[in-house]
Order: sequence, then C-alpha cells, then structure tokens
Amino acid sequence: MIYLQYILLAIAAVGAVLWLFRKSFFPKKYDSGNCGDGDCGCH
Amino acid sequence: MEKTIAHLKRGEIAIIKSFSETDVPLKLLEMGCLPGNLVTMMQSAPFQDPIYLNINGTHLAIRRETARKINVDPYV
Amino acid sequence: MSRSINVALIGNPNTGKTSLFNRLTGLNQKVGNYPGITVEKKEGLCKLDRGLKAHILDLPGTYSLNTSSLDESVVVETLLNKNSKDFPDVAVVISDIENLKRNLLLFTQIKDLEIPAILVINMADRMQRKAITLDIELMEKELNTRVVLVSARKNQGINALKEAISQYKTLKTEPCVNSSVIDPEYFSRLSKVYPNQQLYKLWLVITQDVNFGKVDRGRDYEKLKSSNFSVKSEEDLKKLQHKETVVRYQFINGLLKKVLHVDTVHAKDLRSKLDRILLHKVWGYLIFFFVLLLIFQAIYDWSEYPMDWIDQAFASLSQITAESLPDGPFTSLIAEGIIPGLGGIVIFIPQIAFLFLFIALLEESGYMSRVVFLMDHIMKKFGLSGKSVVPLISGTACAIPAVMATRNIEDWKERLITILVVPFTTCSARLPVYLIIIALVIPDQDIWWFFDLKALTLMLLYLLGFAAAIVSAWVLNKILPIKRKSFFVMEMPAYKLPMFKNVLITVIEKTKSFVLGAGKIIMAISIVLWILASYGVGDKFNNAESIVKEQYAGQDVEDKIIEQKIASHKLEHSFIGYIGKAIEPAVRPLGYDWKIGIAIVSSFAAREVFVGTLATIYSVENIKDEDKMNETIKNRMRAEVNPILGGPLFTFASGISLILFYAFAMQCMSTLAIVKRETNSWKWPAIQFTAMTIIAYFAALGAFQILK
Repeated sequence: MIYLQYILLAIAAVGAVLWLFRKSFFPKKYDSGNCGDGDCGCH
Repeated sequence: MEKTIAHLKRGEIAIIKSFSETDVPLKLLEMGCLPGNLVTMMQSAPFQDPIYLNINGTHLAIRRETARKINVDPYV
Repeated sequence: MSRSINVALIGNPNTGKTSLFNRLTGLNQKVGNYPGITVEKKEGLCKLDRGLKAHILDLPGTYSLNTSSLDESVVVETLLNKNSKDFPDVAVVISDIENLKRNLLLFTQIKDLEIPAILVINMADRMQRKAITLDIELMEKELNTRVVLVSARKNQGINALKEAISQYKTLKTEPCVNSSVIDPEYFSRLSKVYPNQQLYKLWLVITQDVNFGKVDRGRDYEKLKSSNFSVKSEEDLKKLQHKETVVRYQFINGLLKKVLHVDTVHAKDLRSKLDRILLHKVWGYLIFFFVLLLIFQAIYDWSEYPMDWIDQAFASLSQITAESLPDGPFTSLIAEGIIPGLGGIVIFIPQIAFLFLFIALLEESGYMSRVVFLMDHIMKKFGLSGKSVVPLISGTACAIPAVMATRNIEDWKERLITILVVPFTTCSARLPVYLIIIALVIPDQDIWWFFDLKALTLMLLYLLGFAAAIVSAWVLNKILPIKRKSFFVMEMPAYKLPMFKNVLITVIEKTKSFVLGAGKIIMAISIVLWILASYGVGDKFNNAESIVKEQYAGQDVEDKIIEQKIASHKLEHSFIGYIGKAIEPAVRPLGYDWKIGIAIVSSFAAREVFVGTLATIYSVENIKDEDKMNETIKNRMRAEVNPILGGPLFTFASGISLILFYAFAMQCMSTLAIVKRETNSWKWPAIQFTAMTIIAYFAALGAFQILK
C-alpha cells in the first residue's frame, strides 16, 4: 500500500514538472483555440 | 480663415464642406463625417478637448486637432 | 437528418450584436481564439426548423470592411476566404435603428461581396419612442434582400430571423452599389487581368494592405499580390477609398430618404440629460471617482463573507482528507500540498467575480465611453490616449486582455506606451497578496461613515498602480523616439440598461477561465513545492528528530512543541530550505525571511501563487500538529517570527515593503508572452521586465528601511 502511494507521488511530481516546463517554455496556449477572452493563459 | 468644426459653439449646427488635409483618416468618413452632412457640436470635454459631435445621427468624439482639419459652412 | 450551415454575425460595435448572439445560441456557445492570433472567436449553435442547424460565428465588431485593426481584419479574412471552414453560407448583418445610415455602409460592402446577407435591424422596440417609421417592404426591394426587425433586448423577432436564416437559399446576391464608378478605367483594366474574379473582392484585397499589414486570404489572393498589379500609389488608393465611401453614402442617403421617417420633435432625450451630468467638468470626474470607490468597496467589503466560508471549507477539507485516506506520502501531498494550494485561489472567486461584474456593467451601459471622453485630454499629456483608460481599467482584472484591448488605439506610440505600462495596474492576481497582507498589517478601523481603513488602503494601492502606469507613460513619451500622429475617433453609444443575461454570461465566462487557468498552474506548483519541502538530503534533514531532541534534552518542554521544532528543523534543511537560504541575502534587506523569498521566486510564474506557496510551506511545517491542520493561512502568517529581529515577521514595515514589491514587479510570464506577440519583438517585453523588477526591488528596499 505504501509503495502505491510512493508511485502515485512520483507520477504526480513528474507530471507537474513536465507540465510546468512545457507551459513556460512552449506556450502554445494562444493557438489552441480553447482559452476564454478574460484570461488567455494568464496564469 | 476657414471655419472648422473646432470653431463651433455648443449646440451649433453646420454643414461639412471639405477637409483641409488629404490625410483625414478613412475611419472618420466611414462614421459619416462626409462633405454635405450635418454636424452638431454637442459639447466639449472639460479642458475643451476632445469634442463630442453628432454627425448625421452618429455620436462621436474626436480630438480638437482633427476637428481643425474639417472645414464647415454655416447651416441656415 | 441534420444539416448544418455557417452563419456569420457581422455588425458595427454597439449594435447589440452580442445580445443577439446570446439570444440565438443561449449558453450553447464557446469562446476561443483565431489560430495564431489573439482575437477572440465566439461560436455557437442554433437549432432552426426541419432539422437544420446553424453554426453561428460572432465576428468582431467593425464599421467597415476597410480594416484598420487586427480584430477587423479577421472579419475581412473570414469573408474573403472561400476555402475556409468558417466561410459563411449566409451573413447576418446587424444594425441598430438609430444609426441605420452608418450601419448600412457595412451592409452594402458585404452585399457587394455577393454573399447572401440578411439585414437585421435591432432595437426595434425603440422605434415608437423615437417616432421612427420604416418602410420594410420598400427597403427589402431596394436592397434586394430580407430585412428583419428584432429586439434582442425584448426577445422580439428572433423567430422571424431564424426563419429567414433557414431560407437563406432564396436570398439574392446582386450587389447594391457599383463600386467601379469611382475609377471606371482602373476597374475595367482589373477585370481584364482577372476575368474570373469578382471586382469588389479584388478591390478589397488590393486596398487591405494600405490600411493594415498583410493578412492571409487564401491562395488566390496571394497570387494577386505577387503579380505586381500595383499601378496605383498608396495615396491614390486612399483617395479612391474615400471616394468609394462617398458613393456608398450617396446610395444609402437615397434609400433612407424613401424608407425612413423620423419625427424630430422630441429633441431632449435621455442621452443629452445624462451626458450633461456625466461629462460635467466637476460632477463627471466626481462620479467617476465614486464609481471606482464603489467597485473597491465591493471587492473588499462585500466579498468578505463568502471568502471566510471558502477559507474554512478548505481547511476542513484538508483535515477530512488526511483522516479518511490511508496514511502515506500521497495522502499527505493531497492534504498538505494540493488542497491548501487550491484553496489559495478558490478563495478569490467572489472578488474576481465582482470585478468582472462591474467592468461588464460599465461597458454594457455605455458609461465606459464617457470615461474615455473625460480622460482623453489628461491621458494625452502623458503620451496615452483616452482609449488607454479601458485597458487600464480592465488591467485591474488581468493584464492579458488589457494588452489586447489596446488594439483600438489608432496611434502606434500611444498604443505601445499603453502596452508597456498596463502591467502596473493592480491585476486580480495581485489581489490575493494585497488582501492577505492588508489583513495582517493594517488595523481594523472605520473612516468617515462606512469605509474601513482596509478598504481605503486597497483603494490607495489601486491608485498607486494607476499612478505608476501614468508616470512611466510620461517618461516613455519623453524618451521613445517615435512620432505621434495623435489621431482619435470614438463612437459615443446610447445609454442602455445593461442586460442581465449578457452581464451574467461575461462574468461566468471570465471568472471560470481565470480560476481554471490559475488552478492548473497552482496545482502543479503546489505539488513541486510540497515535495521539495518534504524531502531533503544530508544528516541535518534525516536525523532532524534526534538533533532537536538532543537540543531540548533535560528541558521541560511539551511534546507538541518538540514536534513542531522538529518539523521546522526539517523544513529548514529540506531542498526548499536550501534554495530559500540561498535567496535570503537578497530579500533580507527588504524585511523578508527565506520562506517569503521562495514565495516571491515562485510568483514569477504567476503572482497569486504567493499565497498558495506560503500555505503549502506552512502546512508542511505543521505536519504533526493536528490542531493546526485546520487553521487558516492568515493565522499561520500572523504567527511567523522574524528570525533576526524577533517579533512578528509581518510587521507594518515588511508588509508595506512586500506590497510595494508586488505592486511594481513584472511577475507574469503570460503577460510578457502577449506583449511580445502584440509588439512583434522581444525587445519590449525584455525592457518591461527589467525596468519593472528593478523599480520593485528598490521601492521595497526603501520602504522597509524607512519604516522599520
């Protein structure tokens, strides 16, 4: 059970880092056609 | 000196005659600011600039320096 | 069986286009962007008769097809590119009864493109009050199309419009104005070179580049451009465009003389009465000031209650999660990392919604244009335009839409300066930081009748943001070597009672995208931070327990306190502790400790991460303390101790210093990206980032050193 928790933790960590990396270095957000007018990739 | 929109007093009506520069933006014409149309001076902003006009039923605001380039004839 | 047709909704600004769009599609709409550019693209579905579905595209408002901005060029692009999937089967051109003459200009242009076009005359419910009569039958005959009277506001005529749309195949496509009369010789040459092309289309393509840069209009037109059919100088083309506009108005005047009758007895209407007061040299500014004050009062005072509930809810959610899920590192991550981090953003929903609500109300009512009018002269002195007021006010929500809202500023220098200074305005991402620090360091006190000192401080901060923007605009105006043309045209729309449905849709849409956008990044950052704060290497981290116990050996200390000390010791020697200590020398002169240093660094991704970061760090520290699990972030901050001076860490001096840092620093990657896009170079965002961060550091340094 505790191993499962560690695995989930690792997945979350890797996912978060990759996502942040992509977000800050490849901001494709503006072309993706799914951001509202108020706040295009504001955060 | 030619009378221009900038000379109009509050509530005064005149007929647009011509532009003293060719450089008048197209947008102004599209909003109805064309020779032959009536222009009414609605009011100036505080500090006299910009000015608030009614041209042919369209209400618009332009700066005084643009208004100086638009010559008018008196409306009788 | 279900067939779908494309319907393009086109019209001048302020004709009620959005209201009509909302009526036709209801909530069945989505807002996106045109590929590659940041122009908003609104689409929706509308069911017609006999299984026919209309895919409705709400194009940006424009006065004509001779474009002068990016938004407007989207309209032309859509109408010219037959191969595009958005190319309309039928264009619905919306006009408003009181500005029919001007609205018809655009209609004749669209008609001349030989696209089936329906003319919708909106606000028909005002006809009687304004003593306007219209001969629809004659108008349909003269314009050779269907004319539909609607009132989007009162929901009248919508079914007739749907009916007209579904019969789009019966619409005639003959042009109503022969534009070639402006230069018959030129146009006949044009038609010889391109026998298969429609003349007005060719004319539009040729003249587009005069007003605006290059736009992609499909292959046919690229060919035309490369074929060197440029026998006319730019100036001649401009003259021809003027001539074309005159020809169109001649046609329209002739038409309206026949069909439109206005009884002009009622001279004094609501507009002039309201304008007299709202544009008054004293009352006008005073009213504007009170409107602003009201907005800030709402943001601070009225949203306090829902915010307290949300704060409590997240604290207990954290506790419940920790108790009900099996013990382990992943459970801790959720309970101590993700939930407090997300709570840090959800709590600002009430305030952000209030802000968007007021902005939507100001826009919808027509008051925003009056503010522009009032402010133009003052703004001009600082190198800005009156139209910069709209970006500066929407900048209080987010700098991104604000930078995009500068597009209707005609003068490039005024526009560039507006873009550069807009990030100084207090955006909603700064709000979380300000609010929590104001709550900590500004005393509870009432001033005058009902404004409390905290609300007033917040108002001052907004004014500070505007002042910073204006002063830097003045400096930029002096130093930027760009010539100013100083051109400004703005329509003054009629006053309207805002439509509840429109305002509601805007508020929901904007708040949703703010929270979703911010939520994702905060979640990712909380995960990373929690891991960095919970793990470490080396003796000092691994043996924290024995080190601390040794320190307190023989002393009479409660177990609870010992546990607390262990957690702090661990945090100090975790990964994040080392990073924080490395930054500490830079932030100590500003009055912060290493934890705030970490929060500032992570804020460079987005400002509102600040509160979430502190929440995550503090809850890791309180890992073993069951009582403190459901404590609010505010109380935790209050309990922090200054490592050197002793006493509370968040004092008046360090609080003000922190607020000033956030007021001036350029901590938003997305804004920099959008500035790059809008100015088309890395130069401007780079200058913006460097200058703002330097100003922030020294302002904070000065404040702390003087106040401490």
